[in-house]
This record gives sequence, structure tokens and C-alpha cells, in this order.
Amino acid sequence: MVNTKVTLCGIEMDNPIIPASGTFGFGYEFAEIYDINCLGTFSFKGTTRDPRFGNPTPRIAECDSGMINAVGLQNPGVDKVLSEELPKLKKCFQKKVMANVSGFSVEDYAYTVEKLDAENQIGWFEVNVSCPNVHGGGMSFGTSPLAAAEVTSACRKVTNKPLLIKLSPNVTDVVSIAKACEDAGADGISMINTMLGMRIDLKTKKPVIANKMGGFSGPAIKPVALRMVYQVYDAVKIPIVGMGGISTAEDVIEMMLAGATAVQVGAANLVDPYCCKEIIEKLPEVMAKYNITDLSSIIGGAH
Amino acid sequence: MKQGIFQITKNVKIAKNTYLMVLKGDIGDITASGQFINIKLDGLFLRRPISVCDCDSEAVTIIYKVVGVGTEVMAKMQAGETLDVLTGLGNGYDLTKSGDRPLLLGGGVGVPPMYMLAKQLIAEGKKVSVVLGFNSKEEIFFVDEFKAIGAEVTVCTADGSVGVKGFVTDAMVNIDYSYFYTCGPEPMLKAIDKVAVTSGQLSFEERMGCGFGACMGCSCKTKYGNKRICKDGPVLEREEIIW
Repeated sequence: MVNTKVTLCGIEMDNPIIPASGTFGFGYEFAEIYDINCLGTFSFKGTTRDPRFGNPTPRIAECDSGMINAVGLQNPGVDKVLSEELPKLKKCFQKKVMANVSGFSVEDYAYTVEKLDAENQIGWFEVNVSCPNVHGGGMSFGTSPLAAAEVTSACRKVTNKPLLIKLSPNVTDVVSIAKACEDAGADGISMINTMLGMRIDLKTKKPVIANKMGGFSGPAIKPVALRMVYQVYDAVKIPIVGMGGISTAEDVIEMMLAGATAVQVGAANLVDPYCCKEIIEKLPEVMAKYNITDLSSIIGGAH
Repeated sequence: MKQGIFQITKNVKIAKNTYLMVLKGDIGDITASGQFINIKLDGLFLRRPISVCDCDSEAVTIIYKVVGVGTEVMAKMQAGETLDVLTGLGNGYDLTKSGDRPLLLGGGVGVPPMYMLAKQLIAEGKKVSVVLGFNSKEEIFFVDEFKAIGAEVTVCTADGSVGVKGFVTDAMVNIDYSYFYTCGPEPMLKAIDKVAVTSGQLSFEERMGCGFGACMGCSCKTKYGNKRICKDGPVLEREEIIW
């Protein structure tokens, strides 16, 4: 028998598998095809203060071993998430869920976190700091240690739940940003968000994505994600939720060896909706193959 | 939605760059005409959404045009090979609003979903008129198939090589109909909306990520709120569309 349990910021999970925000909605589309209670947890669709339609279409482009999306945080806004989405989520998922929150100002983030904080089912907050920041002269919160720390402390003030900050890979020094979040009171780091990318259509000779650029995800970015998780693991004491190109049980183990306590699966859900369930079923077998009896014992094992 | 492994029993060229493929497998989740399937292909990351042309108890028929790397891969596949397919995607057409004389308008690869829809409406005793639009003679397909099931067929070609010269709207104005259903390129849908004299349902295309409502890649705004083309569509009511 192998043990797949991990503890993330004080909350025990049956396994470290977490569908990533934006690839799993509020869970119920997937609950139509399998019992999603097999998951460690899942990170629900990025929620903002106000409803957002997002960017114009096309929002999706294919790449070698991956894809680009420029959805632009489409969501019904925190009030409707509370009144419509979370009641539906509760019907199909009984474990603690991870609340993914985005914003366009420090106040936005704190407002949304505070509103969601009363929800019992929310176990963790995952605060996404890779949106453009109109307050910071066009910089995004996730690309400056100072701005990331500012968001972290503002959210810290309004919740006692575990607070994870989701970092962008589109930076020169991810370690300094992770440390700034830790110093500002974050309980964990979630990384990496998508990498800024582009495709150009040879027929129209223009970018495929209406917004021109978008977030590149999928197996192609896994080495970058592993490298960044490895670097941050060396620099911070708080746990890391690792993601970027994860689609197999072997990937999960590799990400944990780099330093992740739990692992998110993103783009793979969109191609194979059963992917997370299959990873969870396969995990004990792959652990046995590599002589791993207790999954949490391998966290950071590559260091 | 269901995921299944389907076996190709037929994959033949039926017109210029246009192929018909029959896939044998569990079609249990295909509940309406106008739905689509999403096909995984070796070496390509995203699935390819293709509308359902017809289905019986054990196989689904699709018709696709070679327009890019995905459909190029499909065109080279042989009978006997298998594909990983998600079925039962999209809302499909609502037959209950058709009235007695529904008009079906298909343009190019928008023609295939009209076939299953025509079959269903004819089975309900409706008098079905079909207008099929193509660019030119060598792109025409399925005219005899529509006639064989008892539909009244008008063919239009943009270059006038066969039938009515012009677009489906040029033929539409001469037909008496109770309701319309259509699928085709967006400029065609827009043109139909301008001349149609009844309510109708229009099937839209958009670049999709997942095809089952998870990623919000194919959203559009409608008068009834934001919709996902893959899950809340691809069929929208004429009254809700914001052009």
C-alpha cells in the first residue's frame, strides 16, 4: 500500500491532484462525467469583483505540445459566484475547494477575498497576481515584488484561511517575488501561470488570437515550470503548488521532486476531461514503480 | 458527453477537399442533430470539433473539409484505424419550433448537420425544403442524399456552375417556409438574418479549447447573456443573436 496523502497549508488532501483554475469551471461540467470527489481539491474559475466577459474571440490557438488562451478572466463576478456557482459546486463536490481570485487593483483583490471568506467550503485562497495593473503604470502585480507583496498583505488582512499567491513566469526573477509574498504573509506559492506567447496565421498574416498575445500552457512549458518551482523551493519555507504542463502521474512525481507539495493540472483537462481521474488512479502504480511509499516524503527530493 | 474509442469504417473523398468519415463506436450521447464530436489526433494538442452529419445505433458520420493540419491528418487515415472521440457535445437544433414547412439552409461544411436534421423533420411528417450553397460545381456533395430522404432541394453556387447563381439567400427568397434552420460561414448566417421572414436557429463556429464548456475559449455575447458556443450553442435562436 502506498500513501498518496499530502497536507497543504494545514489541510490534508487525499492526493495532491488539483485541476487548475480556468480549466475546470466550477466543477459541475466535469461532475457530469465522473465523481470529482476523487480529486485532492480543485481551483475554481478565477473570480473578480465585477462580472467580466473577457477578451474578444478568437481566444484560443494551438501550439506544438500546448495551446495559447486569451480568455481574459471571464466570470460572473463574486456576487453571482456566491449566489449561483458555489451552490451548484456544493452539490457535486464535498471537499474543501480552492478559490481563485483576480483583480485590477489592490482593493479589488481584498474585496473579493473578503466576500468569499465566509464560505465554509473554501479551504484555500489562490490569488492570481498576473493581471495587468492599471494602478502600477502598466506593470502587472505579479511582475514586481513590491506590488505582489501589496496584494498579499491586503488579502492577508481579510482572511485567516490559507493564502496562496499564484505567480507569473513572465519575470526575470521569480524567486524575489515569491520571497516578497512570503514576507507579506502568504501561506503558500502557486506556480506557474501561463507564459506569454503568440501564434501568427499564415493565411491572414495576423496573430491568431484577437488579443494578439495570450498565455501559453501545456506539456511544452513543463521544463520551465520545474525549473522555477525548484528555484523557489530553495528560497522559501512555505509550500508550493506546482503546475505547468502536468498531464501524467509521472509528471506529478517529477513536480513534487522539484519542490511542489501539491500539483495542478491545467491544459490537459481541456483535451482529456478524465485526465485528473486517470492520474489519481495511476499514481499508486507509478509510485510503486519508483519505490515511493509515502508521496509527501518526496517533496523537494531533487534538491 | 462521452469519451470513446471509435473505429473508422469509411473515409472517402466526396468532393473537392471534402471527405466523409464513418466512425463506429458508442454513440449513446448523441441526442440531437446540430451537435458535434471532438476528435483527438496524434501529434496535435487540441481536439478537432466536427459537426455530426448523421448517426445510427452504432456509428456516426461526419463530413469535413481539409483546411489545416488536423483535417490533413484525418484525410490520410484509413478504415480500420481508431480515433479517441468525445461525443454528445453542444445543444443541437430544437425541432419543436419547426412548423409544417421548415427551411434548412447549409453552406459548404455547414451542409452536413442539415442532413440529420432533415431526416428527423421528415420523419415527423414535416415538408422540408433544403437550400445547399457551394462555391462551385466541384465542391458540391450530398444533393442526391437529401433528395433520397424526401427533401425538396435547391442548389446554389457562387460561380453559377450549377443551380441558382449566387448565395443561399438568393434561393431563400423564393421559398415559402414556416421556420428556418441554418449552418454555414458567419457572413452567410448574417445575410440570412437580413432576409429571413420567420424565426429560426443558426449554428455558429468558433475556435474552441475544450469543446465541453470548461475553458470559456469560445464565448459570445447574446441578448440572453454570455454563452459558450461549445456548450450553450453552437445553435442559437435568431432572436438572441447580437450581430
